[in-house]
Amino acid sequence: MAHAFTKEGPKGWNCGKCGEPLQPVSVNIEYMGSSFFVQLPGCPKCGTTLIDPELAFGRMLEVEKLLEDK
Amino acid sequence: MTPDPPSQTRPLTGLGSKLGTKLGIALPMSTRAGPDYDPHGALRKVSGPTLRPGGLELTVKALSVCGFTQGAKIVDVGCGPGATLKLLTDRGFDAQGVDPSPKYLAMAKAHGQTALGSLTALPQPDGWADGLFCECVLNLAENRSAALGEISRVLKPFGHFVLSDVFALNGPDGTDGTDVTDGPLANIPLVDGTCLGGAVTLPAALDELGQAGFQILFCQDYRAALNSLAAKLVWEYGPEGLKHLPTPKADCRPGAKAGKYTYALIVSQKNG
Repeated sequence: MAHAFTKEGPKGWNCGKCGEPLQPVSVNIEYMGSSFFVQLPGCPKCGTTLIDPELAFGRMLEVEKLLEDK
Repeated sequence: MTPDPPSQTRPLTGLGSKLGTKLGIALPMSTRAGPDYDPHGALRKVSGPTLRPGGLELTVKALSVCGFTQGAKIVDVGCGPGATLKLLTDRGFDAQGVDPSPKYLAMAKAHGQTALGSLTALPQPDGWADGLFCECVLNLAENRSAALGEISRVLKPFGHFVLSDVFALNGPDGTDGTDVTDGPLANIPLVDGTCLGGAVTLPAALDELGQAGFQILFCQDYRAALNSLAAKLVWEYGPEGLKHLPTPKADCRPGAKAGKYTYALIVSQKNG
């Protein structure tokens, strides 16, 4: 399966589908009835957003725990 | 990884269980509000200029409930940087923002009339106001009863009192404070199901409003707004992010240091 993003050197990520360098985009995160906007790297052409493992298992997990009342 | 559809709005799903949306966080104390009360920069970064959950959405909802006429005299107690004051002024009301912080008043001045004052020492004369907004402020009062008395003094008979704030879901005895389906509170119009430290339960708040001479017109739960603000604080600042929520009275109420909370809008009317 083709990756949506490719690492292109130290500057960051490119979209695997469009080839565009990712830029900060405003993303509405929704979970369990709550939502808020954050800035994440995304493709300016197709809108695909990158959530790396560090973010998914870091801040994102902390927020989920908060909302799940754990 | 398969690319998602070209949308910049997508849900965050599934790493955890579905246990509920209640907050259960032990919150550290902060400093008391006073003349040198400094704008909460960290909170403002995520909440915007309103410095409270829900932003101006609740303010607009309250205005629709109150139905003020053009030129109505409205006080915004604890106006902060003036977000609500701007909304009220822009809508053609004779609005005055009151705050104990000169720093906030300097910011709010650009949005309308301002005056130095506090919940228990409002500068307006008796019976001056058609309406009074108290948004995420009453929990900061050292004496809630005195604050409600002062609010009543400034309002005209049948004037509207708009209260939005954090409410505790659990009373000091561990009971579920949201259960208003039985007893004397059963007839309160609670729509859609129903600053942390000074929070009382919603039934207790409705009861204290009644004792202060206010008739409840509207009460709605906005728990998602509080959860969203808390989630964004954690997103921005990590698990310690919740310390940026104002909690000046965390030590003053039994059971208030740790607990579960919601946010609600209550619109009431002063008795004639």
